[in-house]
Amino acid sequence: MILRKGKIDYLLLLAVVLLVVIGLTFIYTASSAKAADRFNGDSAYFLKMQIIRVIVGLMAMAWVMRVDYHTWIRRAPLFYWLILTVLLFMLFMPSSWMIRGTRRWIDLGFVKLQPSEFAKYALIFMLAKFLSMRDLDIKRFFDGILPQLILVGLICGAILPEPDASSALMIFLIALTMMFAAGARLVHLFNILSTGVLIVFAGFLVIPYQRERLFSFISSLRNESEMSWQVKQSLISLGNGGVFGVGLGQSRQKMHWLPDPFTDFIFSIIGEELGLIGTLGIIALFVFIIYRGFRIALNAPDAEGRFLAVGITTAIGLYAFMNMAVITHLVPTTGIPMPFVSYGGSSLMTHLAAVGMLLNISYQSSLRYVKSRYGVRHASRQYF
Amino acid sequence: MAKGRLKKGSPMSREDVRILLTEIGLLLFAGVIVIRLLYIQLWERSKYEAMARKQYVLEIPLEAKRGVIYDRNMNALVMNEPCISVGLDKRQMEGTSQQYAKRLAPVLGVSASWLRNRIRSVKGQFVWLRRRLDVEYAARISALNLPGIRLEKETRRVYPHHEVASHIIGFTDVDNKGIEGIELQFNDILSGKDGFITIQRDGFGRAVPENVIRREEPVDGKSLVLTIDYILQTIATEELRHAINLYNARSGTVIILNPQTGEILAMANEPSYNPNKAGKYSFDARRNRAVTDAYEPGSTFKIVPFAAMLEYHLKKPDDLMFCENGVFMLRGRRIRDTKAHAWLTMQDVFAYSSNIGTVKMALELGEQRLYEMARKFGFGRETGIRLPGETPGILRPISQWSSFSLASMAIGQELACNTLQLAMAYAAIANGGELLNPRIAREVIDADSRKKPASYRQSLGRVVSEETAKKLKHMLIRVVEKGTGKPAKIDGLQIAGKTGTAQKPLSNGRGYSQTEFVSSFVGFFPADRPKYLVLVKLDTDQENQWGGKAAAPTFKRIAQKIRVYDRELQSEKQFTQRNGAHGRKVVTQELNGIILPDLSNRKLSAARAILEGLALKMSTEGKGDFVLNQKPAPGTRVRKGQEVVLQLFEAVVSDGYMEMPRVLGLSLREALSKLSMLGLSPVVYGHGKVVRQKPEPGSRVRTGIRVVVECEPEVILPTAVKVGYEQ
Repeated sequence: MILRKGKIDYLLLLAVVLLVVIGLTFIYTASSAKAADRFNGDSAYFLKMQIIRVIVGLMAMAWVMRVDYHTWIRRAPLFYWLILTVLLFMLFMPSSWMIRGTRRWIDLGFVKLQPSEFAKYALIFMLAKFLSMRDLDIKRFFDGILPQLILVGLICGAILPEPDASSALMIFLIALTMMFAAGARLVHLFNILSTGVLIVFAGFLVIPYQRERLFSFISSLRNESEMSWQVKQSLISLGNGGVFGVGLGQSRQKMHWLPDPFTDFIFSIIGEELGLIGTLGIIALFVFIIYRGFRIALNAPDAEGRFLAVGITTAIGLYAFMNMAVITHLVPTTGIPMPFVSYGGSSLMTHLAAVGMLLNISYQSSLRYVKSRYGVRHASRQYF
Repeated sequence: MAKGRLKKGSPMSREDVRILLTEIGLLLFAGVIVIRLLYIQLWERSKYEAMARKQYVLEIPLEAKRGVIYDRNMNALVMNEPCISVGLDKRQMEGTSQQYAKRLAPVLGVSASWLRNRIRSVKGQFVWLRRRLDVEYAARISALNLPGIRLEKETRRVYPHHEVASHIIGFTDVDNKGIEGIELQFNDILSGKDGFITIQRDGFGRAVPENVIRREEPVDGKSLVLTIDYILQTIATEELRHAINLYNARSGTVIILNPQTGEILAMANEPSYNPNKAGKYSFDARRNRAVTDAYEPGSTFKIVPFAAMLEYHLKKPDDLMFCENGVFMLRGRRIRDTKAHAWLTMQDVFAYSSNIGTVKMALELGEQRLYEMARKFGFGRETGIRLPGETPGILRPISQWSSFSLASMAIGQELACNTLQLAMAYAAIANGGELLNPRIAREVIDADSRKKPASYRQSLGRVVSEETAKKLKHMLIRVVEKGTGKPAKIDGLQIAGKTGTAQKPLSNGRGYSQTEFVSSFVGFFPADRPKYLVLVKLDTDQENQWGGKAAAPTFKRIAQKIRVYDRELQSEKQFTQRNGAHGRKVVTQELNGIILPDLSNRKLSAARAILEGLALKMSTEGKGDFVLNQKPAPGTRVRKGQEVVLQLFEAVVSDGYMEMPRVLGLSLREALSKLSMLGLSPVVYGHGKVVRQKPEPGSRVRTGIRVVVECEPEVILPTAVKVGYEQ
């Protein structure tokens, strides 16, 4: 009886799986040319790699879905300090370990990981833990917001010099959104936001290529010919796709015109091949995920689940829309992948696992409802 | 959903409001992106579609062959030579511009820093590194195997005769666009119209030759035949140079023209320049002084008042005039003759070039008639020659004359003309009184080798009556027979001419220089039926100022050489009687070195005639009717009687078609040499080994057709490739 009443949010799961499938489709069409060029005609190379990750990611999601979300909150300090150590270690690792001139990735031999993706969720757990503490008054600054701010600052401070200002900025925004949702005072938030943005922008300005990107973005708003190659190609992809697109697999921009057509700029190829229908469809799926995510947050059994859900949903939504904003030339080019869709292991696996958590929260809230109605005492840990 | 709130049984909590606001914020973000997407994919769609179309096609230019410039005897004065331009497609670069610069610099022969700046400074995706290099560079550059390097085969202008006729022909810039001389003036005719092939390409700029969208064949430029005679031009160049050295002159001009038709046969200036290295010369050396510079003609201008006196019947050649014993006061100024004369006939005033006699005549003539006659002779306006930068000279209207102007102008001061104007004025006397339009372009040859005249004999009006012209001609003969022009006299060839000496006006306009003079002589021969008019102008120092001293002997040397060259002049009775068979030999000895013309691709008979004309011996190697090569090389200075060895070749009779050779799998260098040996012009794409060719090997193609050759570097992939795309 109890077991049957407890149900998971299949629609949310469906939306996520749909995005993953669309992602795989477009990773294949967008990468086949490059893969064939690089890997002796194996046009499905990148697809195969991503399928492995999807399988691993879905397994992770299935497992996380069955684990009580309180576990993550409880273990949050462990994750947090662990990932911070890793991030600090990366700042001091020998330069021969650097990949593409940065310290963003760590090569474990069989797989390259991007710890900032994991750090994001460790911080979300940590903040969910803090924000749900009964004796914490979020309205106060020194004993309310400041401790969390220090947690945020440590993580962002470790990511910023990798250099990865965009990830640092994104994590900072997610954390701030969580504090806002928890009821922090707007004055505090405004001051923190302006300080943080200033620091990140200073980071932008210190790092030459970031500064160049920023300046070229500003000048490209005035003068289109100043636009960077990548953004120009991205807009050509979208515009050439028009309303109905050029047809699945028919993209010409992926023929080495658009750089990174299956990682950060996969949305452009979707827009080219499926047109406005495709891009609006993707947005609709994300909007639906956000909608369900916030419903889960509002219905969460407790404050921990509530803030965890807010954090996860915000992370997914912000990453998705910020990625689109880059592609549509609304913000300067930053290395933000599209959750579930873009090629890349760390982003896919962490986001899928996070969806697992959302599903667990929704399951537990439905269970809670049943329990209150029928007086069932224990919500067993064996949910399925 | 709402159940959560119902369950708590409380109104929406403040935290719920914050969460909903967060949600709304994120959805607003999504809304902004939706609007932006609508704008890009709906509103601005056509703009991006156009951008996409534009970048998917690649236009490979097919260079039109620039027309050749010939002299009147079809000697090529400029030729096209295959060359290589080196470009870089920056998107395909693998490595920094610094690395590229370091590797390319030693091969291209420029400094690495220059190259790096060049790569960086050009904004677009494509940058030319060096244009129009020797073909030999191609092999060395493709051996570097640098991705993104593009080699384009082009042609460049080569001027085989170096300084000879350089001022007439001019030169072209790096884009093969004429920027001086004939190359500039007739650029539209010579350049033709470039064609192109448009093909599909991917983002690496790799073309797919099978996907030719459009092909527009280039329209080759038309060739031009000038009125210039290369041999006469060489004579003029050599003798001018000789005179410059001999008389310590700063600069000078020689013009040879046909007074009956107005055709310019030679036009030489010093200082001169080599158009193959035009950039290394100053503007001073490059300008065609004969038309761009105006100078005070001095005594040579006296022909104008004398023509007017005779035309208006104010005096007859035998009328006596008092020449004031060398000094004549006019309105407070002193007019001098170089030699004091008392009474002279009018023709002797001219023969001895008496300033006093001339001025007195001008006073009788009056301002209006002198001015009108000067205008009729063409002074004060362009001759209309089709060469760039002609100056009209200065002939002020009477209203601007001072009280002394009439006297000054009669002796060729207070006015200026270009050298060609003066030559055309004397040509009018030589041809019986008609001012002609000077001609430089004779014929245009279109792509089908059809010749069309580029100019006709064109009269600009009658200057004087035939009778007056005849009287003037006799006066000019008298100048050479017994007057100031005696140094120009040649036994057996009747010459009519006039000397001129002028001081150069000071640049501040106040008076005349005491150190800079213009010595000139203009004359024509044979006097009874003038065929050649020669004008010599030398900018000399004080010692050699007199026209009779520097310019007239130079004229004589040129005239003697012309007589050697032109058999018609030799057949004159007097000549053969006096000098017999030796006459020719004697004169040819004066040919003290001549620049050897380019004889390659000429018919053997034509080459033999040219060498005979230059008094050079000839021997041949090999069989055939055409000259393949020559020793010494074209442009070398040779002495008279020196032997020139001609290598011959048999012209292959061709129906205009040939079999397309197979170049697949060859290296770019091998393919290039194979194709160019067969006269096929390749459009090269990429680098490394040839992977595609169009047309297919073995197909029947027109000779000289353009061939698309696509190359790709050989890439050896490492066995295990690590992925760099995990994020």
